[in-house]
Amino acid sequence: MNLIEADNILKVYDGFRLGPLSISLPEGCVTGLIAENGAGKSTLIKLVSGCIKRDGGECCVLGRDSAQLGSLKEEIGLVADDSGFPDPLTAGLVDRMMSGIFKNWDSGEFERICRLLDVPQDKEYAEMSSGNKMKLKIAAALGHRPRLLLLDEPMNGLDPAVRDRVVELLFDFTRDESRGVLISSHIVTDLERLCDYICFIKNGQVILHDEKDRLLERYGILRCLRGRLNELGGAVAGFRSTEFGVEALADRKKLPRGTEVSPVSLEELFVIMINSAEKEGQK
Amino acid sequence: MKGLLLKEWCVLKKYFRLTLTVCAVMLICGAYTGNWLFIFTAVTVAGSSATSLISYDERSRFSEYLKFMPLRARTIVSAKYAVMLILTLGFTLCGVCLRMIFMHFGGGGDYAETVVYGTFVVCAGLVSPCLTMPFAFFKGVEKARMIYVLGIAVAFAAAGAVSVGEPQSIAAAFPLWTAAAAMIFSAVITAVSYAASVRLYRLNRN
Repeated sequence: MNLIEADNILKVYDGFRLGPLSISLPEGCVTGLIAENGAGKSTLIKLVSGCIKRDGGECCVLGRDSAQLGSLKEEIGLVADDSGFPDPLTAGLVDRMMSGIFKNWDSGEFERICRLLDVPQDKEYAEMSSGNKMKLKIAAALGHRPRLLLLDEPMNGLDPAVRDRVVELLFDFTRDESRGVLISSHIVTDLERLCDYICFIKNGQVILHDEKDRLLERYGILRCLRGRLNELGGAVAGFRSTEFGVEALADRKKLPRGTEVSPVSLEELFVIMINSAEKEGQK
Repeated sequence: MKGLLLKEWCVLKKYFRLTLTVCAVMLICGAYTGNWLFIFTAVTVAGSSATSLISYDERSRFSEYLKFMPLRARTIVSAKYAVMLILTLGFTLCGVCLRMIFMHFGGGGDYAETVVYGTFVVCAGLVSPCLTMPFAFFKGVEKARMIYVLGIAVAFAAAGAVSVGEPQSIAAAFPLWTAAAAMIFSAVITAVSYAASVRLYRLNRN
């Protein structure tokens, strides 16, 4: 069963339109959302979580319409950049508050994650750094043992050591095949480690949504002179100029045999694809 | 709702300690001197703290987090109304009891009249938050501020109108049964305000 099944969902604001787009999250998988600032990642996560009303399309989360999740929210953990806890609450008070809200709240699990992520116990939320606030939000999202995690920029403000621990936490989380994670982040290296599926969003549209390993196998970086691009035609999905020529994102299967192609990272894939989409748009 | 009430208590303790202390001092002074306007002011300010709690939720962005919790709109609104009623009724009860104690030891006064005034204070003290909270849940506290000011003005105008004239004539004008009428009116405006708040909060959330 897909934990998330969004079909042509649409959200229209003044000056911005997200969709129509379709995205799914299979059980036991992690899907990463990569996009430029303002492309619609947070809006998509809010649509899926039912926090905002969609203007079109269908969206099912854990088998129910996302607009009517109701008690199913017990099984969903959310970390959003633009939400927070009341200023006077410490981690201990957050624990007590959440245990009065979530039926499945596990104080032991919450404390364990707080210790793992070094969340300060006696500091009020308002006095915490942005990194510590994010750590507390992550612990709170996991504290009620959800089935589905929706993480909007959870790595913001975290140091590399803590990011590593968060990635390990999420690996542990998805060991249970009935769970899943939808995560957005600008730190593509973390997504490359963690994700099974990758979704690129630009200007409110999905420009790529595929298995991460398949993407990295399919595409490679071809370094050549600009004139050669015309010869390669449909094999080139995008390119960027360098001081020596161009770096082209090439579909390995469509290239002539024997063409030397270097492996591509997710970050290079994203940057070249997004910049090329921008140039296409400008034409 | 337990979790939400704990949260409200923590915010009140942190940000409203001074306000509620001043209200308590005004309450004691009003009860000692028999000045019901002091008691009424203390009750109104204390009861309106519930509206300010909504603004603290907005400021900390906890209101965004709430949209995602497995809580019904009714539960979220109920937590604020519970605080409003606890503070309004609690302060009024303290004011009435203190007045009766001072009357007992100082002599004079009319216990029935004290009860009547107490119910009027509850009624008038609920006017401002009951008017303001539906708007605060719908459009946020900043936009509801004008309604808050209007509510305070109406409540004080009513209190001023009632207090015009000799104390004996006021006592005669408001027999004991008016206390029951005031409490019924208080229950009605609170129920209407609560229903409007739940409806408007749902509209805003969607």
